[in-house]
Amino acid sequence: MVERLHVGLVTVPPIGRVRNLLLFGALAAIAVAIIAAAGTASGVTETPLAAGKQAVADHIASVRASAAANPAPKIPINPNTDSSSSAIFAPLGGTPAGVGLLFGHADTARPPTDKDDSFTNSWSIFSSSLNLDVWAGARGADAEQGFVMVVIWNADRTSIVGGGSFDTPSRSGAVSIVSANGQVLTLATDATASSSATTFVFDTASLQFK
Amino acid sequence: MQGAGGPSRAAEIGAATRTRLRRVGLLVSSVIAALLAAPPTALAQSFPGWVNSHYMSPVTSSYMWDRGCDVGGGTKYQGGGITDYVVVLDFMQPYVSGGVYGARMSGTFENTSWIADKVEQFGLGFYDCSSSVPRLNIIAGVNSDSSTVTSAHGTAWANMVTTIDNWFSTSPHDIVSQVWAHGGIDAESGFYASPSMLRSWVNAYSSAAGTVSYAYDFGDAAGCAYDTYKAPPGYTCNNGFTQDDYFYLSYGCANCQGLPEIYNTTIKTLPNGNPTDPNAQEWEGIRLYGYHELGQTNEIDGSTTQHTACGQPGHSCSGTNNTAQAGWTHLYNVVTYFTPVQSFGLPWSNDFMWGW
Repeated sequence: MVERLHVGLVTVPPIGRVRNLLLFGALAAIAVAIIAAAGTASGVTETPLAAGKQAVADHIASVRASAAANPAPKIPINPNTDSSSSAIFAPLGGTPAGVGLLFGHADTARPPTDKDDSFTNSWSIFSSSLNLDVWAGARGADAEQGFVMVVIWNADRTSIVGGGSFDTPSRSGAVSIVSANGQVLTLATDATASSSATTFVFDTASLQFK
Repeated sequence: MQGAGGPSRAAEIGAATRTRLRRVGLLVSSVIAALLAAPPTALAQSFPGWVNSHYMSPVTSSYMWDRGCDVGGGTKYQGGGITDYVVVLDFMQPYVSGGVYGARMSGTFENTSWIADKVEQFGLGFYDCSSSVPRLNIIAGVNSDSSTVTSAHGTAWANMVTTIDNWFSTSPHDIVSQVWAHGGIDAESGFYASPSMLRSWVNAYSSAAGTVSYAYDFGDAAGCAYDTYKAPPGYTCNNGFTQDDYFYLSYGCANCQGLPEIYNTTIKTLPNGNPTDPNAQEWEGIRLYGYHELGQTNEIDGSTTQHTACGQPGHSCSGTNNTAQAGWTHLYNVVTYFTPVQSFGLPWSNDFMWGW
């Protein structure tokens, strides 16, 4: 009996099973090589991971494999004795102003969430009873609209518990914090050749412009 | 073999061989035609799930172990079937005080030793409270809104991450089978650091980190071209950054990898009907730039969003609050649509929040 093996569009002549395997292995290798070459030529093939990056991946895989063979025991009990409320806040820099510290523009990082807005400076309270940050600046969508952004933290500054962002009562440009009395801030726009500075008063306790 | 069968047998074998070769050729042609006719595609991947990343403030070691335990124990579980977590701990501004390197957060400065301890405790908490299945990839990051985005800081940061990974792999807390730390930087054109400052930082990080860790860029590509590119240095993006800069920071440097911000909620539609958004398209343009202009495929490991942070008091994120799943989907759709298709899909998704 003639054994014929049908593969797709072609008929393979009667040959032994070992030869079948060899033949198809060769076919697969040829197909893969040609397709790889064609893919590269047509720009559809990813390039291999760069050697340096592959070295990192290999290193991690190697260390992980060793560790997996002898994993540390899992002990689901916090080994630390410090209390979650004992973080000591040691503000760096800042000028005392009211009950907080005023930070200049160079020390005021832009909050990364608010991409379009601009910030001029900031003011913060660090105490066991109140932790609060205020940024002052202008809206990204309207540079004439000044505003303050207030973030109120819990006692150990681990969670935000309140706050908001508040536009100045008039569109007078970006504002900066110039002074503080207790928790009340005085803000001002820059004076220009054609106009004097506009000042605003913002109460961080009531979260309102006065 | 020819001698065994004589000339006729030899002729027969020769004819049979030629016939077989023709059939082989036909088979190969058929296979190639079939494979080339179909566009290259990644295996369809479902959303991998997500957990929160965090803008950090000064906290205690105990607090960080508890938060790691929350993630490992599943109480911060945020997606179906997630077994490969990435959590960015963003320690905010790179800073140097009295010659000591570290970061400035919530108005305070903490040095790299302090930061290393907090990352280690987070990893240990995850390990102790998890099963043996999930993996945690911690990215200890800073932003680029600082004049201290320097090579010296990049070196110090890489050395810190190496210290962390050594701690993870040292008894009695040899937990690297499940936990690994990398470095990272939120590189943004709207921040203080220039492209050259950022290149110095990632180059120094790479040199110091060697084969231990990557430096993940989890920033934006604001103002870059959508899904397209041109000759080096590519299109110009915001504030003088170029596609070449972003490619370098997210893949081009020796240890750089990408985990880009996909914030924009404006829905764009790809030719295949799948949704994407402008941020995903900016990064796709950079990926295409790298492949077609530099011959390197930028492998993007995941998406970064800020939906949770945008919902916290005080933060306004108009039009930039994609959910974790939306951001991931928009990026996945572009990296698996344009060639070269990212064959491994998009493994990670993370979503920022302030604090915990």
